Amino acid sequence: MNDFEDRLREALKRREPSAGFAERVIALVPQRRATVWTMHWRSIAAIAAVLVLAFSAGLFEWHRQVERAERAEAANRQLMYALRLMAAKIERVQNRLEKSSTVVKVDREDIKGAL
Amino acid sequence: MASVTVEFTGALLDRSVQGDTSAFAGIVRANQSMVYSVAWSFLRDGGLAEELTQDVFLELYKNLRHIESGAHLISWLRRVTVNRCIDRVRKRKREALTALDDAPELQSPASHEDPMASEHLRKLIASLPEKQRAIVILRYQEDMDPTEIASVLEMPVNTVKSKLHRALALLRGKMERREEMES
Repeated sequence: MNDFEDRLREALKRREPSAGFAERVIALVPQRRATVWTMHWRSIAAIAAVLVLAFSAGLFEWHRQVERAERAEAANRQLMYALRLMAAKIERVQNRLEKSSTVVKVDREDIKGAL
Repeated sequence: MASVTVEFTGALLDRSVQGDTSAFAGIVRANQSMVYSVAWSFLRDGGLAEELTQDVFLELYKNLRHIESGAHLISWLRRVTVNRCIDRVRKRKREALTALDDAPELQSPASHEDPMASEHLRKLIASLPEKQRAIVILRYQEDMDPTEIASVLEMPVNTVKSKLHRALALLRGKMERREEMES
């Protein structure tokens, strides 16, 4: 240790803040804590709001999907019913046609035999 | 003296973590002169130093759960104080509002030997680049060795030693020139 270092130590001696400093800091601590809690509650409220919005949007979308699926299923059912009806009608028409062509054939043979 | 403060601070730490504000007040009282003196030597402005000291302790209160021991707490205080001082000085430089030599002097000098010389030395220290200033303050105010300073400033020990050496040479040279001019 030399003289110059001693002079530096002397020049850099510790000093105290103004009287009542610790009390002033402590007075700010509960405020700080309250602020922190207020910030926490605000964050929680914001997160909750975002979650509620996201859940509502999800629920709405799910309902729309279900409705769309139900409509598609109903349309499918109607189409199948219409196809079945059409198939039955075609079958009936075909039967009639077959019947009427048999009658014509018999009639011709009868006529040939008669001749 | 330092180890007494470390033990005392360590003893108050657990109670402070539990929310005992009187224990935290004890920590503030035991360490306020260290934090304030570092800030004062750095900024040479009593009002700014006190404001910064207050912010450092409020920051400490928020981070109490992460502090493991009395020694850790003191090291944390030193590191945060020095970093905040460096930030403040850089901000002040950017704003170019106050020249260091014009900074208001709120407290009387502590020296009883040669108040003028000590005051001049303090001004010279305050004119050093931030990192050199931090090293000189931690070395001669806090009596820390280069290894401890390196850990607080998060820089290699050799860098601390070379910066300290350069700062001392600069300060010594300027002081000698001033004394020659006076004589």
